[in-house]
Amino acid sequence: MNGSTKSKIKKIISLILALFLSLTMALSVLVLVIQNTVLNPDYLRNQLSTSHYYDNVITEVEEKFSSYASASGFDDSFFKTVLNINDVQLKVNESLSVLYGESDVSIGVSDFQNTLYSKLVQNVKDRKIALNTNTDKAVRLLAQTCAETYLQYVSIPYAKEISMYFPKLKHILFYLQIISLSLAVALVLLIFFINHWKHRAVRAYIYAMAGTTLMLTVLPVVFLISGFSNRIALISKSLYELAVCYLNGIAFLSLEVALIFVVALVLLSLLYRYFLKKAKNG
Amino acid sequence: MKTVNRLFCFILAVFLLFAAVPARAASNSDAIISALKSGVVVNGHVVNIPASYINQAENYLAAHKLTDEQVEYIVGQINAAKAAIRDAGVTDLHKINPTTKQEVLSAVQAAANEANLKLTVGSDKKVKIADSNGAIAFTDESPIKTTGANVHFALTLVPLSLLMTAFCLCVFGISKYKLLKRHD
Amino acid sequence: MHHRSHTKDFILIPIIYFLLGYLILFLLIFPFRHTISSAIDLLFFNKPNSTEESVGNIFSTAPDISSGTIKLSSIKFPTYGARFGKVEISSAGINADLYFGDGTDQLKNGVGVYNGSSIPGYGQTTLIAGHNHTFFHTLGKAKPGDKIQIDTNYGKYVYQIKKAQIRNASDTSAYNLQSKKENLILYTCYPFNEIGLTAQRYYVYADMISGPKIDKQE
Repeated sequence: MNGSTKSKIKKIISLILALFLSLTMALSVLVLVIQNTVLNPDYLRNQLSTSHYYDNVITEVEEKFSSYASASGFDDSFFKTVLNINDVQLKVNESLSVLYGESDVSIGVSDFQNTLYSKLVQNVKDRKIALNTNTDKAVRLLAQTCAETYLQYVSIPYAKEISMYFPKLKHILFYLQIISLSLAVALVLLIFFINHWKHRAVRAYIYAMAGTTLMLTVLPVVFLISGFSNRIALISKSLYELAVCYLNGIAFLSLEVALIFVVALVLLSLLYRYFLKKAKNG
Repeated sequence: MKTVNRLFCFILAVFLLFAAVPARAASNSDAIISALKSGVVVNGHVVNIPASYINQAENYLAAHKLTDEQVEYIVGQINAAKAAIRDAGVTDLHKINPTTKQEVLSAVQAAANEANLKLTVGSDKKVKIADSNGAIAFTDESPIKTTGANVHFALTLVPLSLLMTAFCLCVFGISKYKLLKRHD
Repeated sequence: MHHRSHTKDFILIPIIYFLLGYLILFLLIFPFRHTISSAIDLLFFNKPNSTEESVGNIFSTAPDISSGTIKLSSIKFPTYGARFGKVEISSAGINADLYFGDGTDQLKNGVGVYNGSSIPGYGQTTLIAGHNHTFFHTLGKAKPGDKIQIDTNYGKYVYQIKKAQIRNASDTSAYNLQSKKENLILYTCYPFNEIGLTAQRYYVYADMISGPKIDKQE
């Protein structure tokens, strides 16, 4: 085998290894993105805040309570005084803790129910309505119904059921990350050592990294531009706004990582020029 | 898991049809409604669909018209789901085995797509069935309101999952004429 | 050593890698494409979602049809949440907008037909809910023999009250949704003036005395 043929084979092998490196890096980034979004409670907490989830939940609960007002002889405006954004935040975060397995304590609303009952009784007394046994029973039922509704609205749907899958997913992704990173390192070293001229190795790295950057950029950009997330089938405003923010956030995170890759590409380009100059002079 | 099973049962209840509707069913809603109203015998158990579900089907069918081909295709999917459940001898979907559940859900999913059905979640964080524009198409709420009472799935409701699909799919399939294309 | 320009390679090869990467991804999910696409279909609407409640209105005045038969295909059948008529009980001073569906929004703005029952003229049970502190506050004044007028976007109906009953909300024998006879049931929470929620409901049962029947045959 002459030197020219050997050189060509090395180039082809480098290209193939660079392809694998590109795929491995993409996989590694995908795992990283999932670990920092889906499996990260702080990410969800951020999105809850960004999407004004708590305010939307309060609006939804107030709307429901106003229908109870129509059925129970209380004024709409009374029920606007029973909700507290701090308490809503607390309850939603409790549900979030259950979702991420940080806690398995069920959310309790007995405090809310008791406070509401007291407020209802006070309102009845202020209106000089007699609080007989039947009325007291009806007011208790109202407080109970409101508390159950409140619990429903502040809970993250199926939190307990979904939380069962998170530990498994965490393990799988952890091992996947280790494998992909190890593979990436092995490929980098392989490419480095099979190329006598180091600028060729760096060129292969550039190909790989640029390929990965494109993979990380195109799909999120298409997703964001198409407004696909706006079509998500959630008719609850609080959940809808949260879901849109959440999905868009994941797309933006991918783009941020792509940006880091672009910076790395610039550095690699400088390195390539250095090695190329060295090869020309050498 | 209990909640997931209930959700599964509700979705199946809405999506699945189990009546003995022949492959070439009449295209008008009467044929579908008659099929829904008649019970189905599975391992000696006769299961009926609650009137509220049938009425919801009837109401939606009245608002949306179907072609013969749409009905026929959807019924075909439903019969597949029905056959899977009958073969498994299921009378209680809470106890359905995973393999049968998968077969049923595949048929359900195909039929639901033809019907342009969407799963959505309301502000009460409950799963509902909506049409492609987000209008509520099917609810499982109690007929009598404002008590705070929750709807409980009686065991007799569970196998009705099969029944609902046909008409629901028929109903919701109106706007999409994908059926023939999907046969490819 | 000859160094050729690799400018084109720096553009072409990454694009090839990107396409190959997506191709590999596509091939990996190819066996599951139907499941994935149908799941996406199930979970996404066909157009951007609007979570603002829009209560449709298909009723302005009722056509002067109070007898005979009308074809189902000629009716603009209401969808969930649509205002499609009004209910009037003169003896009780009730005059409320009628909605299809009895959710929070509908009962806030009027009275609602339970979507698991039927619309007037369908030859089955029409179950209408209304809040006791608003539109059905005076339902108790409607007595047997009194008339209930329901105007819809497809015709005018008159019912005559035959009885009223107080039952528990959980009592499913208070209504029959399988009835094959045209009948009307109005209900609200009871006692009417009770402060709070109650477990009882006040039912008013009525039979149709005039109104066009809906012919379901095409």
